[in-house]
Amino acid sequence: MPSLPEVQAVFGGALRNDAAPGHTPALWALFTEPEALAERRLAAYRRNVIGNWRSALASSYPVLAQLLGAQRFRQLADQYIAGYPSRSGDLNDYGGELAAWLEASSLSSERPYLPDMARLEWALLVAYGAVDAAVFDLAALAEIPSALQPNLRLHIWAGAAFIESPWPLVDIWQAHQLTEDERDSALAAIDALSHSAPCRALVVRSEGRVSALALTASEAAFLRALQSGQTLAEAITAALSEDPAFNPGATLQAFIVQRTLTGFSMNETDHRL
Amino acid sequence: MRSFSSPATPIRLPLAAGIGLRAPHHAQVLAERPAVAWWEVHSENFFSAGGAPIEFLHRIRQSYPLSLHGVGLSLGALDTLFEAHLEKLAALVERIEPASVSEHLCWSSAGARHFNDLLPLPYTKEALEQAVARIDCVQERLQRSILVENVSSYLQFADSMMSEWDFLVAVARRSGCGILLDINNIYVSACNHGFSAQSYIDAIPADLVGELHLAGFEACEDFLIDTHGQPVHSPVWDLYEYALDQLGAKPTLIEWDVDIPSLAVLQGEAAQAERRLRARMHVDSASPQESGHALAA
Repeated sequence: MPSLPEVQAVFGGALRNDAAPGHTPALWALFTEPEALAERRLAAYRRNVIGNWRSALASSYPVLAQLLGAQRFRQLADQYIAGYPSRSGDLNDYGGELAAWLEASSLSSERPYLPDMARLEWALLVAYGAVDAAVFDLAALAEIPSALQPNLRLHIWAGAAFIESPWPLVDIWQAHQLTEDERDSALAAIDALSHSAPCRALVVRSEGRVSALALTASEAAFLRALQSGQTLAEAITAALSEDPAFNPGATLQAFIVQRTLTGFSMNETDHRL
Repeated sequence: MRSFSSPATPIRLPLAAGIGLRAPHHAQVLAERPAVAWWEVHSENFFSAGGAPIEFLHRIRQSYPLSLHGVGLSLGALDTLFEAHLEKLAALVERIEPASVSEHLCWSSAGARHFNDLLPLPYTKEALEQAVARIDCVQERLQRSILVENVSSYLQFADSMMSEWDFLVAVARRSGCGILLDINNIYVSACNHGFSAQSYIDAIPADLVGELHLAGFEACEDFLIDTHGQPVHSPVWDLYEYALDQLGAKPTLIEWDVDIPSLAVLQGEAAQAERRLRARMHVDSASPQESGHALAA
């Protein structure tokens, strides 16, 4: 009599969408049903399992699904499912490695922006459920002597994601938030393969809704510097080197209002003062 | 075995018909606050640290009794994912303080793989011990008793040593958990495996049952599949009435998970359950010695 883990390993192996067809004695020996009947009933489980993963992917990657069309997206989903087992009892967690997998897929040579779009859609999903952003304490900031403000380190919301891409990601994503009629004309205006406008996408959440915004080169440099732990002054210098007209006050305010920045701290030297 | 039975954690669901609350109805329910006795949600859909889902659930919890129904703990498995999943559930239970917490008596995972489906267990001593051990862990971690639900099945294991109903009762007795009896699942499995659905219900002690589930199935060639995509079928309503006769009035839930209809349709289904529940409660009040018992594991 096989042990419980053995039973589950054999049963589980038969649920894979790339399970080798044929007559596996250890499998059919598990069940009271005759082989032909057991095979049909096992197929019902397999359909349900695969169907759940397909639905999870379609729900997490709605723009990819629209870009590819239902049939091609399903082919993509099935290939991904064969290579990437679920690692969580929460179906919402399934599909986080799709961007990495797409990088190596032949689909990407035809539509090279697909991996970045997958990255953006997953980041939006993560942001949707990320911890609520603290409200930036502007009063506390005002109490910091102006001589010390350049040394502040600003905190970025845990759900914020910043994705740089050679493709017009945000334009494509935003076009897919429109109605079908509006979308077609919006997409027609976008040259998806254009390298002329590299895109710096920021994922934000407001009132529970997530969206992707395009940052300017200087805003991106500012955020990248803050992300890497540099001080406010260093981040401003980085932004100014991209664009001498960079306005630190307006950018700070915008990031605070959209909850990308949630607070600040002083470095060790400043604490002693 | 440890017991987290009342009064520490009494079952606080109303003795009425509730509805499984799914995403397509979230906005409508918040806006209209329909007259629904209680709601049940899938715990995993609210595992996120913040944002709209948890905010939504807090607001529902303020206005309605709420049941958290898990689909991913995989109580009958030995996978490596259980503890992380339990921690997420514990965090949610702590935040929401639901009236009831339930899971399925099944397996869903092996090793580090999860199948995200409710798969049947062989009814063996080994599976019994594994399920009891995990339910002990869950109840210890949550500091409350949970309900475990019988799943439907399409296959039976050659190595099973006992009936499903004996297995279910033994798990509940040994772990101190309650039973969430899914009437549709009993019907589906009875048809698929050729046992008597009434005998199944006869074998369940009324005082172990904290909740009943009703849903729709679909016929697939020569067997039934538990799709939750249809109205409750007529023979399942009959079986529900039989269960109410045998077990007494119990909180009852209408589940509908695919091709989800309007909320009005779900309310219509709940009203049908409510009518039968009230008829049973009327009998109870006329003859108190036959009344259904509160859960006292």
